[in-house]
Amino acid sequence: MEFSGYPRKGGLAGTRNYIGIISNGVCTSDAANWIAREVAGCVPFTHRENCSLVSPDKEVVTRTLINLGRNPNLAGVLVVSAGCEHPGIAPDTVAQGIAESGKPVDICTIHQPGGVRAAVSRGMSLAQKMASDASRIKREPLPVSLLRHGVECGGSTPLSGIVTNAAQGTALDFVIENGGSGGFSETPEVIGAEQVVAVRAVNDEVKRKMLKVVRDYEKRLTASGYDFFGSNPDPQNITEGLSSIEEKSVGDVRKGGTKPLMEVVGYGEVPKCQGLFFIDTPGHDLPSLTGLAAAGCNIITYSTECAVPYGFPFVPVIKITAKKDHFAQYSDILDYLVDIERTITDVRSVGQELFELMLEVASGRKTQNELVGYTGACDLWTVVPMT
Amino acid sequence: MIEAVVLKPKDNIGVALADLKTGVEVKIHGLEARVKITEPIPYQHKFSVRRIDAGEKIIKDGVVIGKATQGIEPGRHVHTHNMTGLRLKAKRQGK
Repeated sequence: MEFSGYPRKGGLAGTRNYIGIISNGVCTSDAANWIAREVAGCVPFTHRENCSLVSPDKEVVTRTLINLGRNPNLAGVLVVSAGCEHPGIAPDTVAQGIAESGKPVDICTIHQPGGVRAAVSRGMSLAQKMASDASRIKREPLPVSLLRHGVECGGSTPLSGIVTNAAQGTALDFVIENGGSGGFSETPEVIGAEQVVAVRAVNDEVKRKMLKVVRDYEKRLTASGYDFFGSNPDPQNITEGLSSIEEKSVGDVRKGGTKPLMEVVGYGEVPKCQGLFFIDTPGHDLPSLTGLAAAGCNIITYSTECAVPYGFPFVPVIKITAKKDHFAQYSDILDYLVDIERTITDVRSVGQELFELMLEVASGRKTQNELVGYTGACDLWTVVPMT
Repeated sequence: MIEAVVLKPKDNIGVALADLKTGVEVKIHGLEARVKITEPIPYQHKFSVRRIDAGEKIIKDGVVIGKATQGIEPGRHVHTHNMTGLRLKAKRQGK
């Protein structure tokens, strides 16, 4: 089975063909946005971190930026740097890490004679050259095994598990059955359902790691002394009938499908396996989406019963819902309506339909958030308290 | 139309796939016996499919999702007023 994608070095495939304008630190967000806005084919990734990072955030943010840059949906990358971020997030380390994947990378620095305007002008010229070269790359038939499917959920209801997450979990099963890989994240939303996931681990090491990331996350949260009921599950979750984090988790983990769990990785890392993986991320959807993109996912499905409008800058995000009224009202947000009764009685047929939509989107069909241009939101996960 | 579903045989709650009215003997996907609904169950919410004692675990999809904070007769609404989760409980340090 094939889709039409962009071949990349290292045996990877892009479903999109952008130049990434990656802001190295928060000080260069505006410059990155300006450059991306002015040059066709460019997309920005910005975030709020800066030079004051200490371990472990310093290493995690650096590897996240590198692996975002290495995502196969980017044909080339321009790293926008203030020039003074050493030793926090060293721009040359980020650029070098991305360049090792074999794609063109350049750095544009603001602290140079001429300041911001000169840097943005220089950045636009560099980006335009890369975008011109990238525009010569053509889509070609590529095996589905080169798809890496990220699965996200937000706005859970008591039916998400058996309907929308079951649907996207089954689509993920189809990707894996066709030789591809994919995975899910959102560690706090595994709390209480960790055994459901761990029992599918391919070996004891993966099982131990899966249980450890959940235990560690729960420890960090409980040690803070805050009561998270009302945050996770959130007010919408509770109003719709979810009574505990465990109940939310039972539904959330269904998005991981039914295949053996091959690998568990930390935030910003790239799983090496074929098949199913888990990434340690927050339950907050923005940093979770970033984790999926850094893991090399070239297509994402996202069950959202609260009709979250945002997508991701350079990975197509297919939004699915089981709410007919939302699907009718928010047609420029949602891409696929999951039939509740059919999913309960014949989940394979629904999963296959979603899988077929994924192949279309992977081959170039635009998602609603891509059509609207609602793809600018991005965030990273850090664990060290802000000072 | 499926009006309610029980996900795993050991579950003691079902999930409403429609607003369920008091007095209705609801047919449940995944469960042989019908359950008589004794108070309104909103769409998507949980209801007890058998008697649940105070302190007994609430089981959905084969997984413990909390415990009953009071005895719950069959056909009752199960939510935060009569159950509580057991995980992610803050360890309050003194001020």
